[in-house]
Amino acid sequence: MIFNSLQFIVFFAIVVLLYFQLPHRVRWKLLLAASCYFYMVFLPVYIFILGFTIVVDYFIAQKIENSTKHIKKMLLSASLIANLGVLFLFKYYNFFSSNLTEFLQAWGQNIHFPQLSILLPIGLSFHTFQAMGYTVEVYRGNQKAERNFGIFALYVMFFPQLVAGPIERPQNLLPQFRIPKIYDFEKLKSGLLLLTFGLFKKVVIADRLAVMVDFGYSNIENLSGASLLLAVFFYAFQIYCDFSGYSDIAVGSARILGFELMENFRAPYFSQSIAEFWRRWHISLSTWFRDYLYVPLGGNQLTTGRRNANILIVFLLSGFWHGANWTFLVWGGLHGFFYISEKITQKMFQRLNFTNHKSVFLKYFKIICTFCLVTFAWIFFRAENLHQAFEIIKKIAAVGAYSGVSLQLQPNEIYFSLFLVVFLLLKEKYLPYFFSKNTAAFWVQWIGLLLACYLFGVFNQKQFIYFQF
Amino acid sequence: MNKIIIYCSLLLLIILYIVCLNDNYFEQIDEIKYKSKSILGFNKYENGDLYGMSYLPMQKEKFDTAILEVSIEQFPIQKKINLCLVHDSYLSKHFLKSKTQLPMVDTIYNIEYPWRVKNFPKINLDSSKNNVLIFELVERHLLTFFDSVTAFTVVPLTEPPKKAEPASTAVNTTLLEKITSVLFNKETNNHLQSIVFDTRIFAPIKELKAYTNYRFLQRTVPEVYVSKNEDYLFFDETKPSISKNISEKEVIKTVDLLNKISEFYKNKGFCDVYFSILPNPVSIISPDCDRYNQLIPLVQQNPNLKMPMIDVFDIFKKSKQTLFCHSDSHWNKNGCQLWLNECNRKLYASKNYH
Repeated sequence: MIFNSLQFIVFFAIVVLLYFQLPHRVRWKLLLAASCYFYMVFLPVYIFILGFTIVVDYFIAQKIENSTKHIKKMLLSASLIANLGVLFLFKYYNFFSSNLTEFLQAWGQNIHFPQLSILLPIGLSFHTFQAMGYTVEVYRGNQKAERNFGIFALYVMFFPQLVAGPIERPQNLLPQFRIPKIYDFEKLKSGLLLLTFGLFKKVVIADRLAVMVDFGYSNIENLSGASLLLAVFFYAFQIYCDFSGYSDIAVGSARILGFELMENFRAPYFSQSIAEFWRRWHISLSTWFRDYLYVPLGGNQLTTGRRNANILIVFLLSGFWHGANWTFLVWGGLHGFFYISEKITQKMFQRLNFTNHKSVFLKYFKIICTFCLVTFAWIFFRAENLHQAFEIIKKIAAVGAYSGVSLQLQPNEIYFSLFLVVFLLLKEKYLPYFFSKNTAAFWVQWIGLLLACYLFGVFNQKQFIYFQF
Repeated sequence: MNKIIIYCSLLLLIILYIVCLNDNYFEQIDEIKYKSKSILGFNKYENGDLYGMSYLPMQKEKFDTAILEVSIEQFPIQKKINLCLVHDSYLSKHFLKSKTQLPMVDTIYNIEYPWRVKNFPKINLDSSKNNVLIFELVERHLLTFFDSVTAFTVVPLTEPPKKAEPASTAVNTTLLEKITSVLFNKETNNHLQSIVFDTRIFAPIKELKAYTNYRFLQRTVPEVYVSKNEDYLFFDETKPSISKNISEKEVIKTVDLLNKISEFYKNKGFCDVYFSILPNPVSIISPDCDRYNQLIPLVQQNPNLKMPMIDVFDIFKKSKQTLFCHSDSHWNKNGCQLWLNECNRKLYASKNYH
C-alpha cells in the first residue's frame, strides 16, 4: 500500500478512529495487525522474511542480555549474520554472482554462478537496519531486551515507517508503545499538516519532476546537454521531495497516532558543506552508520589516514546499502571523496584564516558549490549503469551542447516546476514549520494544501523511490 | 454526540473498504451508481468516453444514440440476406439497434471482435440464403490488428465455438488463496477511487482539475488530447494519423492480408465479403489532419486490393455535417447514418444475391 493512494487514506482513517476507541492494552495489537496488513498488501509472502528477522532478533536479544561477554559477542555475530544474510540473499546475491561470473570469465574460467529469480522485498534494508540497531543497543547495554514479542514485532513493523524509514532507534520508539496515548487535537492538526505537505511534495513536485527526469534519462542520445542538465537538476529535487515527502507522511501519520518519530531531513540543500549535508539528509541512516559502523571502526580517535579510510568505507557501504549496483558504489565513493577533500581543504582555509569570513556571498557560494557536488553525485545514483552516467556527464560537459531544452513537457509546466522548486526552498528556509496552533490557520493551510494536491497532483500511482531500498 | 459521529464514520469507512476489496461487491455498487441519479451516482460516460477519461468540460456533450432510420423509398425492405457483421465498437449496441436500418437484411449476426466478446455466438450459415460478411474496423487498429489476432481468420463460422472453461473452475483455488486474493486485492485502490470520486458531486471538482491542468500546463490525461481548435477531444491512440508516416511495405502487407481474409471467407460460403475502415476523427476533422498520413486512401486505392470496400472516407471528407462526437471517440448519428447509407447502397448494388 503506498502512501499516495486513496487506499492508504481510508485504511489510515479506519486505524486512527479504531485506535482511539480501544483501551490502551489492546492498541498495540491493532497497530501490529494494521502493520502486517499494510505490508502484506505489497505481496503477502514477504511477511515471512520480515517474520524471520523479527524472531531471530527477539530471541537473540534476550539471550544477549543474560550472557557473558564472550557469548554476547557470539550471539551478536549470529544476529548480524542472520540479518545481513537475508539482506545478502535478496538484495546482493545476484549482483555478486553475476560480477564473479564475469570476473572469472575474464580470467578464462568458465564458471557460471546461478542467478536467483526472486523479488526484492519492499523496504528490506530499512527494517533490517532497524532490527540490527536494536540488537546492537541491547548488546551495548543501552536498551533492555523487549520481553513482549508483539511489541518487538511492532517496533520493527510499525507501518508509518516500515518501508522507507526513518530508521528508528529502540530507545525512542519502543517506550512509546507502552505510554498510554490520549487523543490530542494539537497533535492531530500538526500531524495532518505534515502528512499533507508530504503528500504535496510527492504528488505535486516529485511526480511532476519525474516525468521530465524519466524522459531525460531514457533519451540521452537524442537530448541536448542543456536538457540533460535540467533533468539532472530536477532529479536533485525529485529525489528530495520523494523521500522527504515520504518521511513527512511517516512522521505526520505517526504523530496523529501520538508517536514522535525522528526527524529525517533538515533542509539539506541549504548545507554549506558535504559534512553538513549529511547532517541534514537522511539523518536516521547517516547517524545509524555513524553509531554502528564509524564509531566501532575507531571514530575520530585515529590517525588522519585511518580516519579517512574509515570515512570512505562508511560512504561506500552507505552507497551499497541503497542497491546492488556499481552506480550506488560510485555515488557513495564520490560522497566519501568529497567529504575527505573538504576536511583537507578546510584545514588549508583555516591556516589562511579564510573560514572566519561572515560574508553572505561566501555563504551562498558554499551552498551552491555543495549543491552542485551533491547533484553531480546524483547522476550516478539515478543512472541505470555507469555507462549511462558517463554519457550524461559527457553530454553536459560537451562544448556547444546548449542548443535548447526539450523534456517532453510544455514550457508552462517546466516553469511551474521551477516555481515549485523555488517555493519549496523558500518554505524550507523561512517557514520550516506550519502554524498548527491556531485552528483557523490550520484549516486554511490544510484545505489549501489538499486543494493544491488534488488540482496540481500527478496521480500516476508512482511508488516512492526509496521503497526499492 | 461525538461518539456517534465517530462510530458512524468508522462503520461507513469499513463498509466502503470491504466493498472495494471484493470485485463482486464493487461491480454491484458500480452498477447501482451507474444508474443512480443521486449525487453519489454517475455514469461518467454519458457525456462520451473521452470526457469520462479526461473530465475536460469544454467539449462536453451528451452522447446521442437516437435510433437511426433509412429512407424506405431508396432502400425498400427485401430481407434477402443473412448478414454477419463483425465489428469494432463503432457499430456496437449504441447505434445498431434495429434491423430496419439494413432493409436488405433478414438476420444479423452482430459480432464484436473476438477480444471483446466473452461468448462467441454460434453462427450457422444457411446455404439457402445469401450470406454476406462485413468486417468493420477502426483506422487506428488497421495496421496492428491482424498481426495480433491471427487466430481470428480461423474463427469457425459454420460451427459453434468451443467455450473456454471459466478460470475459476479450471483452477482449484484453496480457501487461503481466495481469502488472500480478496484481502490484498490489487484493484482496491482503483475501486475506492471509482466509488468516491466518480460521482456527480465530485464531477465539477474533477472538471476544475482537468481544466486547470489543460489551460495552464497544457496537460491532459495520457489517453486523451485536445484538437488544435479545441472543438474536439481525440483518443491518443489516433495520434499516429498525423504523426506516423506509412511505409509502402506496411500498405502491401495490409492489402495482402485483406485479400487473404476475403478469399478465406468466400471459401467458407459467403457470397460477399466486405471490409469497411472507419476513419479516425482526426483523419477527417481539420485542422489537425493537415498532416494526415493518408493510410485509408493508400490501402483503399491500392491496385492490388481485391476485397470490396464500404468506403466512407471520401464521403466523410466531403460532408459538411458534424460526423463525430465532440467528447467521445465515436462518430455521432450523422456519421453512422452516412455509413448505413453507403452500406445499404453496396448491398443493393450487388448482383450476387438470388
